[in-house]
Amino acid sequence: MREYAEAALGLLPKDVEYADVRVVHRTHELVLVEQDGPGEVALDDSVGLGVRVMIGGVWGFAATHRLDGAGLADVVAQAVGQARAASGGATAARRRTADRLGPAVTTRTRWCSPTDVDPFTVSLATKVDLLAAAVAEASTAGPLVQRVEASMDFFRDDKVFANTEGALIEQTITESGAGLLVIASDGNDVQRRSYPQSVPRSIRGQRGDFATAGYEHIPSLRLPEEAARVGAEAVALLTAPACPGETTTLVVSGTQLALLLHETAGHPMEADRALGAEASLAGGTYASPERRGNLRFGAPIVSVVADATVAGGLGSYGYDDEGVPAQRTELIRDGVFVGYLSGRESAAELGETSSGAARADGWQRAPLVRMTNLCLVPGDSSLAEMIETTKRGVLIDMNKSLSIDDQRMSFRFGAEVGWEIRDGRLGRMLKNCTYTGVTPQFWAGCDALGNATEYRIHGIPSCNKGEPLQVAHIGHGTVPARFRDVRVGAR
Amino acid sequence: MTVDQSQVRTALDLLGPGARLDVSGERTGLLRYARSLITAQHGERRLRVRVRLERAGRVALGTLETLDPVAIVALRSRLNDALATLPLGPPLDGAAGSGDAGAAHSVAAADSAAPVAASAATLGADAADRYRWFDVVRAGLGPGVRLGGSIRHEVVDRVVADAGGLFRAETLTKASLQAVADTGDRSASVRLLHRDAGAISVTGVADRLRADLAPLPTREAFRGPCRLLLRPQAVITLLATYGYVTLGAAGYAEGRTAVAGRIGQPVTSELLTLTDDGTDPAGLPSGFDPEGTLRRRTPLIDRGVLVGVVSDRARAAVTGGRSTGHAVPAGWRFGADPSPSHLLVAPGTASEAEMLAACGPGLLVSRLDYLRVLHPKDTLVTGTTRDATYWVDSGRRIAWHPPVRLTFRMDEVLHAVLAVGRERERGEAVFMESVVAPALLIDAGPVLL
Repeated sequence: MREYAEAALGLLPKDVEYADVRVVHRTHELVLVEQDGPGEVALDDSVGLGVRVMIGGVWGFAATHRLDGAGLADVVAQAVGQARAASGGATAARRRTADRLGPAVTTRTRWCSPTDVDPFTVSLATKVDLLAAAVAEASTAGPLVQRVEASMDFFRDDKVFANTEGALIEQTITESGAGLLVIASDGNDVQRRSYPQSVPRSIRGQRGDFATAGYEHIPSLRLPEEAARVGAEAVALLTAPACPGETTTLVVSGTQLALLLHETAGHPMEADRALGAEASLAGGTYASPERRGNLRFGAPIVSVVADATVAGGLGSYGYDDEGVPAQRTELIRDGVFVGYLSGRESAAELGETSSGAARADGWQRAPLVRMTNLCLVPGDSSLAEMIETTKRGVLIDMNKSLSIDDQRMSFRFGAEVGWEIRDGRLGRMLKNCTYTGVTPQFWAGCDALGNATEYRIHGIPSCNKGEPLQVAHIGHGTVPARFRDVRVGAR
Repeated sequence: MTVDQSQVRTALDLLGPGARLDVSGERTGLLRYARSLITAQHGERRLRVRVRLERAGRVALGTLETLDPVAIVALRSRLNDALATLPLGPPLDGAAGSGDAGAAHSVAAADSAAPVAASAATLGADAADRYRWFDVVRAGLGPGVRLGGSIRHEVVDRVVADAGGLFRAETLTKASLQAVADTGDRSASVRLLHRDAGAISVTGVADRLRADLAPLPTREAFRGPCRLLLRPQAVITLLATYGYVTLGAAGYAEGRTAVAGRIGQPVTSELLTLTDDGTDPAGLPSGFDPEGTLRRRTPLIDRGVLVGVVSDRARAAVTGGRSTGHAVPAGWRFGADPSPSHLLVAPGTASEAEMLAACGPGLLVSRLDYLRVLHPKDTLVTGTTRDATYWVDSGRRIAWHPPVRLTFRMDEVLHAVLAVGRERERGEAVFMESVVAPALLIDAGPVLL
């Protein structure tokens, strides 16, 4: 693949101020087993090249699946044509490339994510057997179980990055994940339970918990061992009372907190968003540059970092898609917003260097600022202690749906399941639990965080952003947490 | 056409019985802008080859970026291995892509689609055209108004074919313009899309945006029940979500949707008539679905009464044994169940002035954003208003209203329709190719601010 990247760079005209080329070969395998259904195996293979150029301060980007000489010439001509078409109109910031992109990236290296067992060498029969066992266990919950799907997904990206500054980086990243979905229905109501993580969408497969790891991640998820409980809870939800509407104490599981952290702290602290580049699409953010260092995001016990160097995190890699090394970046320190996820261009506009968070979804997309592993620093409490010290409240688990406004302030989340907390003990199971809040007020009410023994990184392969749409694979390090005075209810 | 049809036929021969190919050659050009500056451009050429092999109730899928016979044979080998390993599934309904000779769907020759005309203007559009559109809108807005959004041209050459003799091909074009004008404390938006780039009136966009940025005072957020006047783009989001959640045959058959078992019964206000019609040029027509079934007009709600749902081959039994042509692409990120693709709400008789007069006092909503389903069976959703939210009284807009979060049951809102506008707009959703809808006036009650 390296030769394609070098060939494309060799075709660039002299007026190109900066260019980079990425060649990516993505392999994906899905195995899905279902109750009363045909199941599915999907084998996806995609290889192509994307080239990004800057001329006159204007970007052009083009991508192609054609890697022959004509294809490469065409893709370079397209990218250059775009930039030239707009560069005469003085519509982009007129700054020198060095000012626009910050320090040059000249790294020449190779990086490979660690794996113990290559998931693409494990037999399909082994995978099907494990999933079938999980489906069978979940189905023991009885006739009200309407649908059970257990799936595994494996991804491998072999990619080459090269730029006009001299960088040449080859990376191989392998990701593995699996999950279980149970839907129960009694004719009047429909409820679902997911394990070990939920994805708020309907896709078949790409559910569950993912890691930058090999097949060894799959047995660690214990799908067959947990499936009967998951199925039983889905059925139990059908007759559970709905979450009462009240303002109360909310205890949030680590899986639920992953999505909450993602929407209220992750997206808002993407530098391109803060600089207005996403305003017409995904929206803006409360975390504007002038508020850095003085905006109180939440209680002093809340600190958040973005860390692309964590072993096994789904947002881990060696170098981002601009060739910048993976890094650990503070976003929230002691409750105060202090930093951004950034790429070269957004970082330079903020007067700093890239945090190494420019990521592209395959060869056919240009890099955007994306989350890496968004990690909440653990506290000193525990889920058991939070429940024991709560007189009245609700414990909720597993995200079901979410919506947040375009400034990342007003939100409403729905969870798959909840439980009453009464006098320090868990009570009845509750269904249709939702909670609502406004980001800084909500996080200001955080008075307890689970400790390091409860810390877990949840990998979710489905973060959407950008136009054209890009789907990123990211991690969320969380612990259970408690929030005071939260509005909960069924609607 | 960028898809070599002889290569498709060769690939089918190589794949053998039970094979179906859904091939698309895609060319996309995009210009994005924010703060009145160009922020990104994008050009993409790709060939997506989706292979489906089905034998004895087992299904294996594969995707490639090539029709090269060597790659097809290699994929065939892997898919055959997979089919031999998967547990035996239940027999699939109908023809279901079995690929057997004489299967019920092998009717391509006699059952040909009326081709959707590809737009020469869209086919020929390039980066310079996109830049010109951007410049027209930006110049029309003048200083003090920041422009964001995107301009996009797409050409998709599609072929769906199977080993049973099905072979369909078409070229689809699409041009779209999204413009968001922002003055710092208020914003307004316009979205236009059409198969034909020449049918998009770029010169009127700035005027529409400026009209919506009228200097009005901003009132404090209203609390309590009030009427809502949903403008067409807000209705498009609402109806796309409702259709996706409630009007598919799989959810209907399994009792998962709010309308399950209710064909022949009222499900919305009698003022609403809803159809799915992939042949209607009011939307973004296309000839056939990813299974190769022809698009056809499918009445869904007739004056408030549920009269149909949409199906694919596997769920054809729900719709009288015949697929309505609403299969979704293999590996679609919104699920595998059949889903509406081209919704059209019948226009009403009310003018904008009449609806404004009947609304007040109430809330005028231009756009619903991030509308997400909290409980599918209850059609409970939550989302926020975005761009140009006004307070209306005495037949006119009297103030800007802060964006509000709305949590409501879609079925209750659609029961509470008081008036349907006579002017419709075209829109889309990420899970729906097109929606055509007018403004709707909603009575106070189902939505509490």
